[in-house]
Amino acid sequence: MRCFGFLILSPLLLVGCYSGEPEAMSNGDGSSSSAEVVVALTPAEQFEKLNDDYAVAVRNDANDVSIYPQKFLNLAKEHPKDRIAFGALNWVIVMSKDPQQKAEAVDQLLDKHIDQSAIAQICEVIQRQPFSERSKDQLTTIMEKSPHESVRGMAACALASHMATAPAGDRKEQEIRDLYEMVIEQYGANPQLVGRAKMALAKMKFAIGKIAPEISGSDLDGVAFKLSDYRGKVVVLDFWGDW
Amino acid sequence: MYPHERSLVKQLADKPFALIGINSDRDLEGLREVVKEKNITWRSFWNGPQGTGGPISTDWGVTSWPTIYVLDAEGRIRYKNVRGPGMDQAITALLAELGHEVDLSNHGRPTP
Repeated sequence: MRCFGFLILSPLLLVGCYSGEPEAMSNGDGSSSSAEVVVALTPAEQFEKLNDDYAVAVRNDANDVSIYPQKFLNLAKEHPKDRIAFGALNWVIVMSKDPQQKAEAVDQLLDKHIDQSAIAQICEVIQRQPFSERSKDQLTTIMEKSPHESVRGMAACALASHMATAPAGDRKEQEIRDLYEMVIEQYGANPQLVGRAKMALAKMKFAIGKIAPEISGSDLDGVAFKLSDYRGKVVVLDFWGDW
Repeated sequence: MYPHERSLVKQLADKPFALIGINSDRDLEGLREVVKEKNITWRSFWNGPQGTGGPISTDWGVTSWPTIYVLDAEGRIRYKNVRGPGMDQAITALLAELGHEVDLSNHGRPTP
């Protein structure tokens, strides 16, 4: 349910998060001349209109809704540095069903808007794409180039999670571990990121196929013993409680 | 849980098999009573007075109870959170790797 809300709301919300000035309008000199007869929509108005058109198309169950990502991409291409381009690209990243189109939008976004803190949310979308070198490169770019520490940390976690979805033969376990350990070391001020990294590391450590770490402790009568005392036997470890 | 585990332990007593608990009850005295009352015949580590926040479960990243790991003779994690018949199958497969054929298919059911 939470994800659903994110999907629907985020493209519009993210425009609101954009820090920076709108691009100067071609007809926006402020003077009242006869030129005003030409009604040119500002990029923001075009963005809003596209959103409205899309909403209507969805409501009417129109069969051409799939053309909208391309329309948003075109709008972004016309005004590449405007905050509206950021919103339009976000729209494509979240709403497009075509992975190529999504990836294209991400590339454009990172090219012109890497300084935006709202890129944090894009990390999650990229991470969930089927494993690819392109997604890896995109997350690496964010991790290396974002001016925001929290975004870099988020990208590092997302990169590690994405790499963990690589097919078994291509999975670079050590690199993944290094990324999580880097997050724990460098982003100590962000408990959420550190918690995520620690949890992921624990999951890797206790994955099927791994040698179980030693347990040494005492039994309920206070007698010391170790898990390794049972090497050579099939062992069921049961974390239990009588409650 | 207890009857299933008790009968496993009993049936596999002469096989290279061990059921080991990691218990997260805070009250050790009360727990000893439970062990007697419910005839818990297998050995457990005690996770300490912090209960579910104790050192062993924290180390292992355990956040829900019960959590089950099945290890082979080399100490390798081979199955997770298998229960009932799933646990029986896991144990049967791992014992077979050691050359011990066991039949746990009727295990836990009352004998006619």
